[in-house]
Amino acid sequence: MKDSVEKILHTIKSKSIALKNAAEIFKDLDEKERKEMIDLMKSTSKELADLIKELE
Amino acid sequence: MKKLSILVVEDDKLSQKIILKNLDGHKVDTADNYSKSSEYIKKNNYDICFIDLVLGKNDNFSGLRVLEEAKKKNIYSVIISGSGNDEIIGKSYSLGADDYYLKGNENKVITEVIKRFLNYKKIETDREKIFSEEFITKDEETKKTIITALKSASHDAPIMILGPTGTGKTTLAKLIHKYSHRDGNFVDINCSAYNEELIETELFGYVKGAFTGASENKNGKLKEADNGTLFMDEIGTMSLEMQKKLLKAIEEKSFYPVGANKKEKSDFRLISATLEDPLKLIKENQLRTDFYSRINTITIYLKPLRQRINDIFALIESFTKDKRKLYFSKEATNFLLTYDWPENVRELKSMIDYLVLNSKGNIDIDILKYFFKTKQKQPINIEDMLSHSKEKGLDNFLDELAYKIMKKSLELNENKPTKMLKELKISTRRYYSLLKKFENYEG
Repeated sequence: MKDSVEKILHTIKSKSIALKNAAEIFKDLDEKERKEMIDLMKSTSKELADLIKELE
Repeated sequence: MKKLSILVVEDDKLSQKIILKNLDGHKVDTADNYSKSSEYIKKNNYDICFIDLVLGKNDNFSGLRVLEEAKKKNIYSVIISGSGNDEIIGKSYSLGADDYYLKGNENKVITEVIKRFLNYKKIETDREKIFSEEFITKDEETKKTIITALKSASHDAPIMILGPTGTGKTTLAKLIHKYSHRDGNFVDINCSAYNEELIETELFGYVKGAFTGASENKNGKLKEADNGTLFMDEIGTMSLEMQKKLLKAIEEKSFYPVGANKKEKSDFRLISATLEDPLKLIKENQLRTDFYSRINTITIYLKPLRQRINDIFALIESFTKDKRKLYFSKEATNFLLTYDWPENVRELKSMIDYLVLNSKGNIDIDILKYFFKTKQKQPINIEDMLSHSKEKGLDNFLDELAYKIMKKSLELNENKPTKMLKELKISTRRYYSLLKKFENYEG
């Protein structure tokens, strides 16, 4: 149990960092890249929400 | 920049995208699990492999297995992980990871890694040239030391070089600067040549009016080394108060020039050197512990020449490269190989310069003995004086030397100037001009 919670927390941390990194470079992207990035940010946010639910 | 072949092992699509964005212009493959990574590594010849350790929701650090595969093919492997667990970090390094970073700064880290990788490659390519032209040695242990030093050249961490006089500390510091890819200058200073006040103005510079004679602003060595390297030799001779000031400047990357009320910024990389044992200096209260901890992130030790006798004839060959060749008799050769070389490479160089000028090319034991006998009578090494004169200007160096001789004579004459003036046969005018220059004397 403890091990699986740790794995979830690890993934939450990784995905949050990825979102932060994406926000940092977002301004420097062209229009096409921004669209791709927004899609990835949305799916990552959804995955994050699902992971947080798993913690409940 | 050379186009590199890179494998990115990362299961998270967004993280993958960010890494790829930072690798524009290179040939990049991506893999999101162990088996795909392993297949790619087997099929391709990558320069660099970026590896996330946890690949998938319930994965148990399969990135470590990817690392093993990558190292089997000698690929420069960099871990970028969300895990800061010491055990995992230790395991990664023991499996051969070249770098380990925590996720969060990929935009900066990737540029740094590429820079470091290219530096490693350049060192490997230049290896033969380095040891035959720039730091001449045939000694395997010394070669290993130099390579370690050069591999850390692209880091910003301070380096401390230890070793007896004449072992090549300045040469190594220059070499580290060359491989650091820092755009600024290599600036060196021998701390033992300055008294307390002078070293402060030399290091930090001063502003107009800071003291008598300060007719204009002058940058110090710290500012001159901005974006470059500051090499401080004989650092243990600096006062504890100066060490404290320098420590602050290193930590804040800024400092006040003497007499200024506005800070100057300088991003310099510090390389320091001492021929004494730093721990002994700490014990004797000549070196601050906090200062020492800050300046010796990386410590390099250069062996004395007597412990690398294979280098003696390699060095002789290099010193006589464009000069007349010398032939050493068996007895002379034995002497060179068993001599203690207290001044190390510098002494060998000085001997060769003498022999080139004063021998007929056939070197026997008598001429060597004559050289060492006459050398002992020379109070100061001319090479050292030339180097100081180049650094400070001949007039400044001679003034400084005269000042030091004058102080020593004063000390030996119960601080009585009249006795000193008589002993050194110098005028009162000269005495006061040196006092004014080095002690701001206003008499």
